[in-house]
Amino acid sequence: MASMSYARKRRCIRRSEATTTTPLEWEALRLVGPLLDAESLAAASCVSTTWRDVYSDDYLWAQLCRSRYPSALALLPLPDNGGDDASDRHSSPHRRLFALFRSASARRRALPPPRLALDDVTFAVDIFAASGSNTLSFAVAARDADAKTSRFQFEVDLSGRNVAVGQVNYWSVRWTAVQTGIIGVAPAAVVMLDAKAPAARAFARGIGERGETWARETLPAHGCGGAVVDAEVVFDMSAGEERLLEKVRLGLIEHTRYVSIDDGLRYLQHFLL
Amino acid sequence: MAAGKPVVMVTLVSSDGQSFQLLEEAALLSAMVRDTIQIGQGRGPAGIPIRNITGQTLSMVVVYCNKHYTAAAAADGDDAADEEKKVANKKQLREWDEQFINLEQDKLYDILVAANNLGIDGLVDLCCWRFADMMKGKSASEIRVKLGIRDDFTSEQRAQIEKDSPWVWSRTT
Repeated sequence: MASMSYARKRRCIRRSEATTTTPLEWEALRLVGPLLDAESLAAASCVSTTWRDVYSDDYLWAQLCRSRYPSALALLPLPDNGGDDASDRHSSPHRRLFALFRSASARRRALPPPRLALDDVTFAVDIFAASGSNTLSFAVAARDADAKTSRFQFEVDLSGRNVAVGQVNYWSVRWTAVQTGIIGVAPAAVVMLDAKAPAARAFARGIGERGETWARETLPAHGCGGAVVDAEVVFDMSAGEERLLEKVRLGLIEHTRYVSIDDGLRYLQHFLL
Repeated sequence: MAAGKPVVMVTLVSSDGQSFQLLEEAALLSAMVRDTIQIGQGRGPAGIPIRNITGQTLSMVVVYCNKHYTAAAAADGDDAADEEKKVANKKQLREWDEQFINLEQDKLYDILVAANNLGIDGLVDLCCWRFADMMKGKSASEIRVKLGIRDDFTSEQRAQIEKDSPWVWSRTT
C-alpha cells in the first residue's frame, strides 16, 4: 500500500525551474490541504489562482463539512442563488454549504437592531377609580420618561399633581403605547396593560412608610413562543395618612427582570410597525 | 539492534554525485528503495542513484531515516510492556521531528519533494504538517508575503472568492 501511494504521489510533483523562490507546486499544496482548518483553507484559497484551484477542491470542503457540520450534508444540493453565476466553476458545493453553516453561528449572535426607536414611542396612561371616574391621565414621550437604567423601564414624577389614592378597593389602569414619530408610517397604538391595582396594598405598610401598589398583565407571546413578557405599572405613594401619588413606573418584565430597551422595542415593533 | 544479524549497508547517490551510506534497514523507510531492492538491485557498490535530489537535501533525508530507524529499533528492543517509557520515547521523537523540520520554506519544499519521490510517508506528513503550521491563522496577504507568492487574481475572480467565503474577508484583503 505504501508503495502504491508513493507511486501515485511521485508522478504528480513537478518542480518549476523558472523561478528563484520556489513556489509550492500543485501537488505539494494538495498534500497540505487536508491538514488545514476551514479558516486557513479559505484564506489559502485567496492567495493566488493556483492556490484557489487547489483549495477550492470539493473533496477538501466535503471533509470539513463531514467533521464540523455532518447534518448539513443532507441539504445537498443547495439551490443556486438565481443562477446568475453559472460561469463560476470554482464554487464548490460543499464550500458553499460550509459557508452557509458557518454564517449560521454568526447570525445567531447578532440580533438585528430594533427598527423602532425610543423617540418614536409615546406612552399614554389612564387611571380610573373603582367608581369609574377618571382620577389621573397623562401622556409622555418614552424618551422623556426613560428611567436611565438601560432597561425597558420608565418613570413619571407626579408629585406635583396632588392626587390622593382615596378609600377604594382598586384602581383600573390602562397603559397604551403609541407610535407617532415615523414619517410615512401610519400611527399605531397598542394596549400594553388594562388591569386593576388593589388600593389596599398602598395602605398595607404603616403610616410613616411609603406605600406601593401595582398592576401586572401578561402580554401575548412574542414571535417564536418564547419567554412570557409581563407589562407592569407600579404606583409609588407618599408616606402619611393621605397617600398621595408620587410616581408611576412602567416596565416590561421577562421572568423576574426588566427587559433591555432594545428587546422592549423589538417587542413593541410587532404591534406598532 | 539484534545481535548476530549481518549488518547490510546501502549507498544512495544524489543527483550531484554525493554518496551517502546508511543501514539498509534505515533506507527501507523509503518505498522507492524497498522496490529497488526487492527487484534485486541497488546492493552493489554503485549504490542507488537518486535522481532530482541534491546532496544537500538527501543528507537531511538520510538523517531523518537514521533517526527514525534507530528509534524504531530501540522500541523493538525493550518490548517489556513499559507503557510509560514508550510514551516518553514517542514524545521525544516527536520533539526531534519538530526541531528537524523547523526550516525555511525553500528547504522544506525540497525535502517534501524528495520525501514524496522516495516514498517516505512519515517525512511527507511531517513536511505537510509544517507547511500547514506556517499557513494557520494567516490571512491570504500574510501567506503571500511569507511564501513569496504573487497575487494574480482579476477583479472578477476576486469578487467570486469574496462571495464564496465572506468570512475570510472580514480579516483579509
